[in-house]
Amino acid sequence: MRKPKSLLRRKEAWIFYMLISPWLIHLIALDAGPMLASLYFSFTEWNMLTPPEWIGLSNYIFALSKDPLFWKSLSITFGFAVLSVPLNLVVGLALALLLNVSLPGTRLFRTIYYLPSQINGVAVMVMWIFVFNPELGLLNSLLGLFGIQGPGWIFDPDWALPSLIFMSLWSVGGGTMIWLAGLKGIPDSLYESAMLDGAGSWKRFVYITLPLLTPTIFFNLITGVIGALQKFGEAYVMTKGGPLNSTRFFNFHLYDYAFSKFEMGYASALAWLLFIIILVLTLIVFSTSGRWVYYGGEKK
Amino acid sequence: MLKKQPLLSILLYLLLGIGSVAMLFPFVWMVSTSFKSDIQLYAWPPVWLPLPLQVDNYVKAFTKLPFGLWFGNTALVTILSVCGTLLSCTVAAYGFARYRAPGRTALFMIMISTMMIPWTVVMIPKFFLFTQIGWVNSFLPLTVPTFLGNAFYVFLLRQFFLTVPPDTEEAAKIDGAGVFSILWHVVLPVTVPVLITVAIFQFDAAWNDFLQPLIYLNKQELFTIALGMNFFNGQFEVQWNYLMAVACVAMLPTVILFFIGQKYFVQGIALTGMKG
Amino acid sequence: MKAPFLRKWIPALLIGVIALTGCAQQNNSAAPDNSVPASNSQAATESGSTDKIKLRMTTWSTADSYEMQKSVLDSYMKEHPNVEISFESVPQNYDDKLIAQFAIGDAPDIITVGDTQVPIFGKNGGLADMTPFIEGDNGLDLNEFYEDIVKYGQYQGKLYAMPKDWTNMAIIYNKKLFDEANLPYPQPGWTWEEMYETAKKLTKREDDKVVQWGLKLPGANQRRVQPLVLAYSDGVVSPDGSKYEGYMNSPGMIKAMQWYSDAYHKDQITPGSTDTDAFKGIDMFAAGKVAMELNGRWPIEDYLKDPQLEFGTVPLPVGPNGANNFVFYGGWSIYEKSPNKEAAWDVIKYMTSRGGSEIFGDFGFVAYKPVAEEKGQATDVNYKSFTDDIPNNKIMPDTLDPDYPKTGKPAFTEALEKILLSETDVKQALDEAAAAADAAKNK
Repeated sequence: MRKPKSLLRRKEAWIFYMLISPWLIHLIALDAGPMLASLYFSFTEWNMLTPPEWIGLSNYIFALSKDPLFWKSLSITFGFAVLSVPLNLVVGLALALLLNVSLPGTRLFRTIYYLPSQINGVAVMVMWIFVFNPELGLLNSLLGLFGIQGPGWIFDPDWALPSLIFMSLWSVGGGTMIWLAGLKGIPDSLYESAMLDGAGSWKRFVYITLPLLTPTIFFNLITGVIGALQKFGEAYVMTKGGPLNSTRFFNFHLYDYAFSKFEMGYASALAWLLFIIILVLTLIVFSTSGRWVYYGGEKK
Repeated sequence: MLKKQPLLSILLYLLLGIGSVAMLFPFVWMVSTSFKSDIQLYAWPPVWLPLPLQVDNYVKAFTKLPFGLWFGNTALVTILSVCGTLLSCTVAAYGFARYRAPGRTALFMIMISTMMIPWTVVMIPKFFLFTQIGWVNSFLPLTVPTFLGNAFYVFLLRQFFLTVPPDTEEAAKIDGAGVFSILWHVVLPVTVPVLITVAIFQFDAAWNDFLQPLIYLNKQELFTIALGMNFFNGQFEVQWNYLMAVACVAMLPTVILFFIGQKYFVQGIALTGMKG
Repeated sequence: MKAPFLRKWIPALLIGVIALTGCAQQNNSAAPDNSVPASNSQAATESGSTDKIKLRMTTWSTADSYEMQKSVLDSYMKEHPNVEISFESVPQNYDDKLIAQFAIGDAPDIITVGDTQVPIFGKNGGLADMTPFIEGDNGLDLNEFYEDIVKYGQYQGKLYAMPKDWTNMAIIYNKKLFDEANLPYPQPGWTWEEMYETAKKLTKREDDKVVQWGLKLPGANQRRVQPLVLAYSDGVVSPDGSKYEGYMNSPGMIKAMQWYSDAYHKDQITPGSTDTDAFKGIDMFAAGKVAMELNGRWPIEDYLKDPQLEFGTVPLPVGPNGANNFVFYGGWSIYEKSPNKEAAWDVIKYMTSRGGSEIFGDFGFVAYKPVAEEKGQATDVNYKSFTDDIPNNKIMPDTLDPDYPKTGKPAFTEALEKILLSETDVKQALDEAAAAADAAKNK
């Protein structure tokens, strides 16, 4: 005897909610609560020492019309994301492909490429400053061997942002595991039948690997965009937004307002503006995903 | 998969080798600094091989401050948070992947959107919440939330669960197996690589977490390594040699874990045999 | 429907883990305090066998400095067994955590503060006015302290902090390099012009590259530049802290900044900001790469340990506007909302006068005259250059304008960055900075 469809559907729904119940607690207590609180603060002026004072939309108006660094900071952040996200995707995948082979020593290589993502804080900063120093640093000394006069890197307002993009590529090996997990999920049988049919490696890559990798690509794209638009670390630890505000990422700009200028209300407004931007972009990517992401295990 | 051609292999090794130099460079500097004497720290041009090697630095660094205790704290918090993450995130991801319900898409988007709000502005309300329920100055704010899911991992796991063909699960269901039984016996064995990935990522995140211990832990006895290391990073003066000594040792667990994890990562494929 | 075994296990597991974490945490927190810590502001009214007053104290100090302060606190606790002080060190991001604690209304009773924080926190009600305590029964005689140091803890007539330690600036010079160049050692009362000329003579070049600089200047650090600023002008902001136009771009400021620009670009007597950053973590003076540096007293102990380094100190040069200096000040304050203010005051009194400063006086300048004199801080050949300049310590713009972090500070820093990046129109940079600062002030 088969149960009626509506009863099955209800049971399915019940199981769904039961499975996500721990996360729902997290959502309500630890996400929604703080997020709504910050939304409230965005309509206030709050120096965190005295109680917040309601000022309506003033923060938002100031941000969009009078803050001299708002648009600059936004364009810097976007510029960084537009360049670094695709680069990281391509380089990350390329690296993962190279590390996917099962030759002796691959484990060691994977670990070596993974190391940079493990080091953080003051040590990295000093090291990079040493690498980037225009006169005595490693990079320009190397370029000098080829007779090239290297630029000012992070000390030059025109080169600071590209330098940070270059730096983000250095720790690309941290995400290799995700790519590898995706690659390993593609059955060998597919490659074997393709090879029997005479397909070369490029064709195998384009027609087998890429399509079956789309769920991973989708994940890395979304998280990459969200991460890039919230870039903070290097600005905070190394450049402090400089030189001359050329690396003033949006997340750093709002942090500066919160903790250096004691304007948590304004910082909250900025945070919500960023949130809306990221949300819109993510929704766009999601809406196109039906067309290019192939799961293979989806229930229709 | 690349065919095993000797020429390609050599090219591969060459490429990876050159890249490796760039990757390893800062670590060479770190290790070298950890063996320097105070005076050698400030030498210019910089000293690459400090002689005599001040192995003493390691002893001093670890005895000056209660690093044994801090290692223990960090290990406890990290292991708990990895367990919590694996438990809660696989379960939630499975729900999102396989079980339809009204509001599922909306909740999924809401979950993704929780990754979009900068830490700076949610930090204080969260801090307030934890202070009110008396969890501040304990490990609770660092561990309990991991048992309640994490958007990043739920998203990742959901992507991978969706690539698994549902046939075997359907069959098990017809045989009368319950949700958790299917998850444990059918789905998870096939997705071992991503599970290892999640474990390693969360281990790293928890082991190296600095901001949360900074805010939530007051008493020195509770500090983690990431926090304690900074005792050498003074206001006006950084004790580089001790700092690097600690940093080098602190990195070892995550690196060793990664290296070992690789083995099971590959084995996970082998065990499942042919797919599809 | 069969009930899967795991479904029952998960909630049990969760509870088990929480309990485990709670227990483990209790086991981990060592004596003396092993109760599950709740918000300590409620602690004072527990009904227990001990009527202990529990105080929380926070600091940015780490390592030796922390140990030192802790030993003083331990001595205090021995003499006062009914007081328990939890000494919390915040090794990095001290300001962030402190502000967060203010924001949620639960901050430590005793707070280590810097002088730049006194106006902001004082004005907005984070810190308690200590005047009643000083004048009360358990008071202090402020005459026993260097007035010019104590004033850094004051704002608008109220005293918000008592001095912990301080240092001002002086010039440290490398005797060997002076000898090599056949130059006499600098004397107190010398001028900025004289220092410039001396630095020029001590700058050595090899093939167009500078291998030795005469002087190390503080780059775009707007605070450390203040002595130069005040030597030629009346400061970056009006005395009432309301206007920047006419001050940040006064003729005197332009002269001072031109001096600065020339040092970097025209004569290159100082390493550029890029050179300094590359050397970050490397003390250029100790490495013998610069002949003079503008610094506080912190590196002097380490310099004394280096047998290769022969150095001397001399007070900062004077300008047309007289002698000027400023102080890096650390002090202790009482949280405005603390329920144990008297107890907190007693600890601070101990730390800042006889009990504490005797220990601190070996490591830093203290403001408590009896101890400072006993330790010879005013007469030691190296430290004399700092202490002699005490009367010249001037008020910083942070105190004149509590909004300085939003107004003058970013504007001035940006102007400095522009001036240092390349040879630029100093007047224009300063005009823009003054305008930006005023705009932010009147937002």
